[in-house]
Amino acid sequence: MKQVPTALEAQENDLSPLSSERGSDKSFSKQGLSLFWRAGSWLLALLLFTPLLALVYEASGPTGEIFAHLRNTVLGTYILNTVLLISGVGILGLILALPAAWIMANCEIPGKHYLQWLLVLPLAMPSYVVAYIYTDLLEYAGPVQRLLRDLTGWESAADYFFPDIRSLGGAIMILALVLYPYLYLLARTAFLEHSQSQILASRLLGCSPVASFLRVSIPMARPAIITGLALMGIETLGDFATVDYFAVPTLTTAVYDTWLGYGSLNAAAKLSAIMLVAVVLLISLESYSRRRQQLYQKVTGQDHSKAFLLQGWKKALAMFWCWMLVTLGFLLPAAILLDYVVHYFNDSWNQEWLTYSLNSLKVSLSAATLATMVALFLGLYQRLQNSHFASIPAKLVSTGYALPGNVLAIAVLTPLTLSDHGLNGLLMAFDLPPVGLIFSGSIFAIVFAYTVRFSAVAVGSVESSLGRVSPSLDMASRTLGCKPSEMVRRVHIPMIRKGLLTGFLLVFIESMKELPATLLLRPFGFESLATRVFQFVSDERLEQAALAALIMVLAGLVPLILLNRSLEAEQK
Amino acid sequence: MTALTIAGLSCRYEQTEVLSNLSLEVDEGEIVCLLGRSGCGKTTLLKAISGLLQPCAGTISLHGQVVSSIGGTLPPEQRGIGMIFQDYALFPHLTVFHNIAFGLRDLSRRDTRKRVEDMLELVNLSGLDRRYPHELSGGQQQRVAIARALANNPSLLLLDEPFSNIDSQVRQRLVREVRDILKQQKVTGLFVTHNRDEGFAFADSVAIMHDGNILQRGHSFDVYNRPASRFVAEFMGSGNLLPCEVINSRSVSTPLGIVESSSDISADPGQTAELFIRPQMFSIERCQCENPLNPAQIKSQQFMGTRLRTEVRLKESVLVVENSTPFPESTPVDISVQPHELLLFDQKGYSL
Repeated sequence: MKQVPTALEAQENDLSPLSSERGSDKSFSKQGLSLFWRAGSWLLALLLFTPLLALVYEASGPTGEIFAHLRNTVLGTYILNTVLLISGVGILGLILALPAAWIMANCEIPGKHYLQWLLVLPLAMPSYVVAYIYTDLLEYAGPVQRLLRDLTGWESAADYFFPDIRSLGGAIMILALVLYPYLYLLARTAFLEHSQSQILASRLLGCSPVASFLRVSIPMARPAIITGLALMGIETLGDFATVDYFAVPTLTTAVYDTWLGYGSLNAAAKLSAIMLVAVVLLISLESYSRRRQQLYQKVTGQDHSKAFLLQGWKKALAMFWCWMLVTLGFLLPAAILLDYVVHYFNDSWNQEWLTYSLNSLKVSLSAATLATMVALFLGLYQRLQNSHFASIPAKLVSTGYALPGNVLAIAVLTPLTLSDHGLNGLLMAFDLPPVGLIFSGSIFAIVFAYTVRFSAVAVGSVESSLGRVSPSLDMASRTLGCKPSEMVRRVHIPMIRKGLLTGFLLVFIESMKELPATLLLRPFGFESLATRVFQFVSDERLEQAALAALIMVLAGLVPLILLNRSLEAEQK
Repeated sequence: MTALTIAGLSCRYEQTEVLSNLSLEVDEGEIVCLLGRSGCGKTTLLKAISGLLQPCAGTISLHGQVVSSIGGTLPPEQRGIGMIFQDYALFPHLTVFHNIAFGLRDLSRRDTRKRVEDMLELVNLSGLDRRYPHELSGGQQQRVAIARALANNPSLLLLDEPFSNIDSQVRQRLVREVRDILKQQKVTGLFVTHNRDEGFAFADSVAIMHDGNILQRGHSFDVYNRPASRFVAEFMGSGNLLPCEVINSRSVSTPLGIVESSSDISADPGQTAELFIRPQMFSIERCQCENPLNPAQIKSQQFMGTRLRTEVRLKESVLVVENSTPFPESTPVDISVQPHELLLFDQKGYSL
């Protein structure tokens, strides 16, 4: 630490011999960060980072019987399915998202203003709800196949080939349909950052629009595209509901089976560790692509006139493509969901949903409050300390977001189970009655897991709003006579209030929607909105939970609206 | 009495030494300009003076009291220093009134209002107290920042490139206005910039900074005319370097012929040196004779607003000259140097 002499640290050096000589009421005292800030930040960070360490520790332990059995039998299939799923979603995502992103960035088509953000909306759809709705549409008894049979006179399934949606391919399709917006958003931003004159230059050098897209736009946007693919990969890896519904066995479903079915924390931890390796690979891919991003830095002095004025069939095709994505990914499922709500309103509106909503609200509000406090604490620590060393706690906390929900759940279980055993052992040693599984067997586990997982969102929000507070404001308020704590209160907090609120809201909504970790960690009899809706999906009666599902979709829209606003502000 | 004394100051930033053994004194009521290219350590010096950076050697004293040393640093809020920033650093969530009142404490509500209004009047912004910073122009924002800093009666005002975000038409006027305000309030100021003209117009004296050290300090006229080194000479304004040999205490011989000095040269006859000649010290005339003494030719000319910048080709080299007569390209010319206080530098670039 001594290599980074910031003023604040300097003030924590021991009192100088000077102070006694000076003899005024001013002092060279410890005006800087108190031990409370520094120790608090590191303790918090380590506390939230413990699960990951515990997971690695548990996974590196001796191989249990169940994992050995898995390894000898189905583990290969699981891994293969996972790899196929991630690559399939990636490839299909590329095919869907890149043309749409390029059209939105470079062409003028009617309704573009709306399409621009409509294209993001599929992110708000829970994948298992979309999966359910498409299964309903495309299965043998569904309207699509019925229509085909009516039109052609085919009698039964033996007369024609129709792909089964309940398959790996179906899962790829559904996940690509709800996850493509990640790629769309990043690629569109990258395309927008390129100077139109570069595209114009390529046109003047003889490129057709398509050639210009392939030879200029795509290579320049490559870092952003890879980042988008990595994000989609991590989300796909973490998806449990869709693959479970379609009965495609992957690593994710295997973690559930081993823990909920066999109660083997050892096997679940080992499987989780394999997934962790995949996450690390995806993140390295992402940071490797960013390393080269400087090569393609934003060109200044760009003009925002669009390079391509589409006409005739080209315009029609461009519009068809974008509207198709919006319709398949959002409008159609949302309309069907709305239809369910209207038809089954009486089934969906009853006392039990109120209980589930309150449950969800309770854990989500707790997690959002905790995560915001963590973010504020760590963000301010980083700001006041201003050294590489001080940014480590926030970085440690942010790792939680990259963990798939089920991996995180297993990771959280390990230290909590240990704490429970330890506490009960201690109580019994003093002849006190044991308290049971108060950590791992209560909603504490869920709140803790949410906090670990989503603190990164709040930290990001606080960091970015603190980043917009010019450092000279710190110097200004210090030279105007503020102590650090006073500066935080009078300048920083009022200025980042919006960022804090955004962070709180985002964590709240993410927590409301969280499914995989909740399924693994919920105490007996505890149901949240998400777990209940998923239960109804599994039981083939989503219709009766349609209202709850719709509420989750609407909640999911809020962060997208916020995102869209910040993107538009950036463009201005 | 000196308001600010910096003695042997060194500062390190993430392992690299930004300031090394720097010393500087600023008198009460004096405005000093630190002039240097970006990256020379100007801003680091301001941070050290304001107490945001701990020195690794040396001391900083305000009015004779040591406030920064290797042993300890008085926190910024106890130093009574005001600071003006390049980005104004106004608090965007507060009105002009509350920005100016930010540092005022222990004043009654009425006194606060009175003080803020006085300050607004001082910077010519009366009536704008309810505006938010984003509703003001750049020049107005900077004046609010000045009012905010002065409201506290700082014993020293630090100004970090305060005019560089102001557009050029307004800048000159604002520089003069702010200087007048500081002089009227008898404020001691340390002004940092990379812009020579601003520094000349704003400060009583300049200090040329390079690589974390101060190369020369003095009145801008003196520094311009008697630079301590070739670096300072070139930093203060362009010029031409010619090899020369000292003939006697009043003249040197150069490829242009003999050049006379208006003051004694402190070098021995026969010594070789480099002669630095400012563009305006030349005179050129159309060559009348067939076989000119100096085969010089006009290479190009540019009108610079008041005078012409003329490039003259002399054998292999090109001289930059300022004159007021236009010539067609390739005109043969006679070029001579007016007698003046000659600037001679040795091999290492130090003044002789």
